[in-house]
Amino acid sequence: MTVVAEETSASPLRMPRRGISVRGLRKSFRDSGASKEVLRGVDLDIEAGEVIGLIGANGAGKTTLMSCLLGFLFPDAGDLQIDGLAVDDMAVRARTGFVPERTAFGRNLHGRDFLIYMARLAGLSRADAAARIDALMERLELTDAAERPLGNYSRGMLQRIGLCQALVGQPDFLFLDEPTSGLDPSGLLLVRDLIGEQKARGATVLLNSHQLAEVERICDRVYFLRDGRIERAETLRATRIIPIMITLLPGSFDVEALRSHGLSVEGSVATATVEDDAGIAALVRLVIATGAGVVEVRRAGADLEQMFRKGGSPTGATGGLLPRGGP
Amino acid sequence: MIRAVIEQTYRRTMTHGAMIFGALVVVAFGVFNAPQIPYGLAWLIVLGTGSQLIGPEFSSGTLQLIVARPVNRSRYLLSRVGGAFAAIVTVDAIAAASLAVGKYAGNNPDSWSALGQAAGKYALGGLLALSLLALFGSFTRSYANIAIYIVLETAFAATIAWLAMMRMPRERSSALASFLQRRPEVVKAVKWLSGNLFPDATAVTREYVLLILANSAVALFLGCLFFRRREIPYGAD
Repeated sequence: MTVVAEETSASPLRMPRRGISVRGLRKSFRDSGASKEVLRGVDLDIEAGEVIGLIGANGAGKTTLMSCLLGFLFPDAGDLQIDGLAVDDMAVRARTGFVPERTAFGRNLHGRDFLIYMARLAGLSRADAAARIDALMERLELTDAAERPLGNYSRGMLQRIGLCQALVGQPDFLFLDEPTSGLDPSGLLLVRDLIGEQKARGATVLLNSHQLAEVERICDRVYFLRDGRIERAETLRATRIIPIMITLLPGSFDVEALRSHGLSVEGSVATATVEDDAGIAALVRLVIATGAGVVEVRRAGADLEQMFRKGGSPTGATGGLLPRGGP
Repeated sequence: MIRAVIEQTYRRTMTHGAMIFGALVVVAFGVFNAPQIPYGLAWLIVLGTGSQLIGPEFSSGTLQLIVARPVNRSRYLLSRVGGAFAAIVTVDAIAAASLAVGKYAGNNPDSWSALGQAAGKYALGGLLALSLLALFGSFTRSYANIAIYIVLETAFAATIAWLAMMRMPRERSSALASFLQRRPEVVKAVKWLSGNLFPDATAVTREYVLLILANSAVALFLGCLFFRRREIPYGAD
């Protein structure tokens, strides 16, 4: 793979996008004289327009994987492509946005000037950049801080301006490394909405986060990394499984009637799985229709958390959707 | 070259507090003294500006934001040096203007030609220093580039003086002194290297200009080469 490709101009025709493809990615670092392999043959496929979560313990290789995709690190082996092009192709770079865990830039630079600089590096004219930045700063509630030096920004504000700089070029491929780190609840909701908006406009998003609940809410699929390998992949959106626990009024229900509808009953608690909120409502209606008195209905915890804790799928399956052509 | 990077580097350099203070001191000394003092002070601005090239950006994580953009790394490095050089030329102009005012006021006995030579030497020396600092910054972290520059400059000066002492004829020569007397090319090589990295000329001649331009070009070429091949680990420091 070439380290830096010459700048190429994107095709004027908008071709169907091909997403992100990684094959046999290996990367090692020298640590105290010894070579340590951090990525040991990673294969993954991300469809254009998907929102993908990367999950793994510290040291699993998530950041190294993202760094290779962004061209910060050069792989020892493997083939990495974004939209069918090498990851360091300038045409790819022009369509890529990156949010680091901590945005670092000159402390004396004003927030708006920083964004204008980033936008110009992304190839926008000063006029186009200004209009887009104003809209983004307003969207991310940074307008009041636009003329303040970055050194005076709080952690959460730096995180939000990091998002602004990533989105200013309206990227087709968005790489987010712990984007909600340091954000307050309102900032967290804002980021969640923003990612949803990016997905809605067709952007491909790769999210590296330790916040499982966030990943579960946002992502279509997740890849679990362990010791430098993709341990498995899980689809969250298409076949999402939501375990539901319904506490029933003792003596008010017919166990067999409930079981005939596919519910498990233990004591006065009936359990079942549904796929979405409409499924929950239908389940409750069904239980009530059998004559049972419903005392409480609740989701049985985050399934992604269970997957991560147990190292297995809550549905009992040992693996989900693996990358095409992968192991 | 990338215009946005040149402009940004220039603006950041010229609005830096230390830079403004330095320029004011240069003006004050320029109006009331000989050119050696204002240009000596202005040289600190060259080193301060050059120390910011690449290495500190690597350590702070700024480079990741840059290389994630459609920015050719070589063009970025050259543009950073270009912006810094533009700032140095501005300082040069400020120093020259202050010296001209000093001369009109009768505080400066130097000829106009000498003042012009001082301005030319500052700009050319600044270009080479910036190129070397960019080269050193292309493979080091933080402010190691300025440390390498100062250590090299000091080490060359000390080595040349020491070698000259060793070559002086004595009643009893040490083995090293004898070796140096037999092999004058060793001293010559050290002087050549020092003269290329840290040239000092009494006048700005055609040869001096060519030497500076050629050596700056080599330094920048190597800097681009190293920077293109450099990995930028996430959260470098």
